[in-house]
Amino acid sequence: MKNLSNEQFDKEMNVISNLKGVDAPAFFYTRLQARMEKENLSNELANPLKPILVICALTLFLFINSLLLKNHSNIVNTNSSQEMEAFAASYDQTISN
Amino acid sequence: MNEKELISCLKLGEELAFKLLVEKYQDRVYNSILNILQNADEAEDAAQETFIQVYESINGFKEESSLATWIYRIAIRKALEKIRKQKNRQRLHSIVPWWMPSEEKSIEAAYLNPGINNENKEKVTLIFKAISELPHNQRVAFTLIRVQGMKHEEVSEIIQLSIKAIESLLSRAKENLKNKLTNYYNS
Repeated sequence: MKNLSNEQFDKEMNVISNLKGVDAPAFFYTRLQARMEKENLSNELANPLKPILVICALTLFLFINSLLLKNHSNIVNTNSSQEMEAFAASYDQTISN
Repeated sequence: MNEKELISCLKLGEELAFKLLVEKYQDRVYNSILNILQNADEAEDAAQETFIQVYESINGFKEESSLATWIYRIAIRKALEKIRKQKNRQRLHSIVPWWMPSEEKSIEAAYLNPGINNENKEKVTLIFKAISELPHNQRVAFTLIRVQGMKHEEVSEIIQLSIKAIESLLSRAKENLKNKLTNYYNS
């Protein structure tokens, strides 16, 4: 087996030296833009735990909770006084405050 | 628009500036990556990733080198990432062939390049195949200098190695290629 000499090697390499450049594919920028938009969208979808969303969800949760608690305590108060009166009436008694 | 203005507009997130930047550098970036990866689809993918990275990290660009050098640096990194991923897939294919489909390695750069006439295509394909088997750093240095005709200084800035190191890489690449081509021609 005979090794290539330096001259032979350089001659071989001349074929690829300073090749004329290939242009980027057509509509490269349009495709790049589409990819960037797609990646932005998928990032937003993949990351629903953004601080602002978390704060909004927490505020909404607290608001609904306090509303429910308030309503519930009103119902309990009304119900318990009505029940007491009915109970007293069944024994021919009245409730005096 | 000069480079300074372009950089400031990019830092402000102006879309028109980004379009100008892509149009200015897309051919050079695509060409460099294609010469390294030798696969058109992978090269387009890596070129797109390069510009996405440029867009995302332009605010971190300290202007210590030229914009072109910085973009090239990102492009080369993206090309090397692709090679690494390719190798991982090949490794995985050899371990679990039923799960990972095999990838036909194509040497497309030779056929896509308009500067090559038909009679040389076979030889060029053989040379590109030999280049693709070189270690990463040798492959990048050899491609940028011998195929794209870049200066040693430019390549030294892009791959952030001293000129001496670049020369050493080039000489090792040359020796390896000589051996590989001798084997091809004698087989």
